[in-house]
Amino acid sequence: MSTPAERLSLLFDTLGDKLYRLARRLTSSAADAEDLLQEAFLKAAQSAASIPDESPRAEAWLTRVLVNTRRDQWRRTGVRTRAMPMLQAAAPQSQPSAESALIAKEAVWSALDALHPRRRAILILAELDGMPPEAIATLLGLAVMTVRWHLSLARRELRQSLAPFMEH
Amino acid sequence: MKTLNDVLRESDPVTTEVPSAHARAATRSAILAGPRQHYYDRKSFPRRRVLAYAAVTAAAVAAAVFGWRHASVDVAAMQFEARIAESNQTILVTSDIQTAKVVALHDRNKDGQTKSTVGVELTFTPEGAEKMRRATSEHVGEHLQLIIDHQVVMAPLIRTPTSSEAMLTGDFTYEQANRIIDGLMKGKLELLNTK
Repeated sequence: MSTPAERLSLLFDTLGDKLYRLARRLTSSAADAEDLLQEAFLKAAQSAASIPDESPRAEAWLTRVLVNTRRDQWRRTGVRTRAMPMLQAAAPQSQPSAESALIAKEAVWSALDALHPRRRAILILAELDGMPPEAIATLLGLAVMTVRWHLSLARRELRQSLAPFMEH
Repeated sequence: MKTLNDVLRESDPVTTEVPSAHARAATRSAILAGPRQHYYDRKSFPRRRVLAYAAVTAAAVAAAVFGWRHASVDVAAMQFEARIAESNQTILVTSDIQTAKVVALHDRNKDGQTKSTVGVELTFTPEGAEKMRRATSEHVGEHLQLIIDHQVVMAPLIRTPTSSEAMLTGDFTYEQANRIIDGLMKGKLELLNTK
């Protein structure tokens, strides 16, 4: 029987990298991602007894804690209100260059910042990790229909705001 | 033409950044060292106490609103009416007033001396302004009566259509003008409270 500290340590070692990748895609800097990861694990430590024993369920549980922690941060900072003006200000240049690539990257991350973290997480898991909606639903504890709905709205929102960058 | 997936992949920081081993080790140490103090030391607030505070606050707010409404009704309120003198057609009432303020009017007589009087400038709500505009357009050449508490204060000739504001002039003192404003605003408040 492992102690809570040992269990936490094992979970961090096995899931830390994977959860960091999700955290990094939900935040705007590596430092913010580390902070988010740390905050999620510290919250998990508060309710160590609630962490499921089996690995897939523990991963799903920690993923939800991480996404919910990000949602709380997002609500506190009100990043949505700041993101859109930045996006409008960033217009793509006609000639591809390092600068225009940077502008495009900034625009993409501003558009992602405007999404609700849960919707953003669903989009990232689908688009960047290639997960099917059923697997995302299991991971985040949502109905498959809910995942499809979030995915559809997220794609529509991003297509609208990133249209100038998708024409090149 | 790029797809959304292309754009997202090109901007994915995970593919371009190398995670800092040092930062990860620091995160691991922080987690294993135990939760930050505030997580464990934060005492939960008893739900019963929260409900008690909420009930007391709600009661205080209700008492304040009740008192304010009744205090507003108890003061002397004035009623305003604007009507066409010839047909006795009412155009505006107190609830059509948006704001009222005292203004100083300076007139120069034929001897070059300045005479100052005090007036009450009324502005009307958008609906009131529209009613005023329509009525004064249809009754050019007739008299408009401006009435406060059933007393005709003014009966100017309608020379041109007017809409959003009117000026009450008379031999008001500054104090009288202020009383009219207070009375009109309280009359309006009383109407709102009784609705």
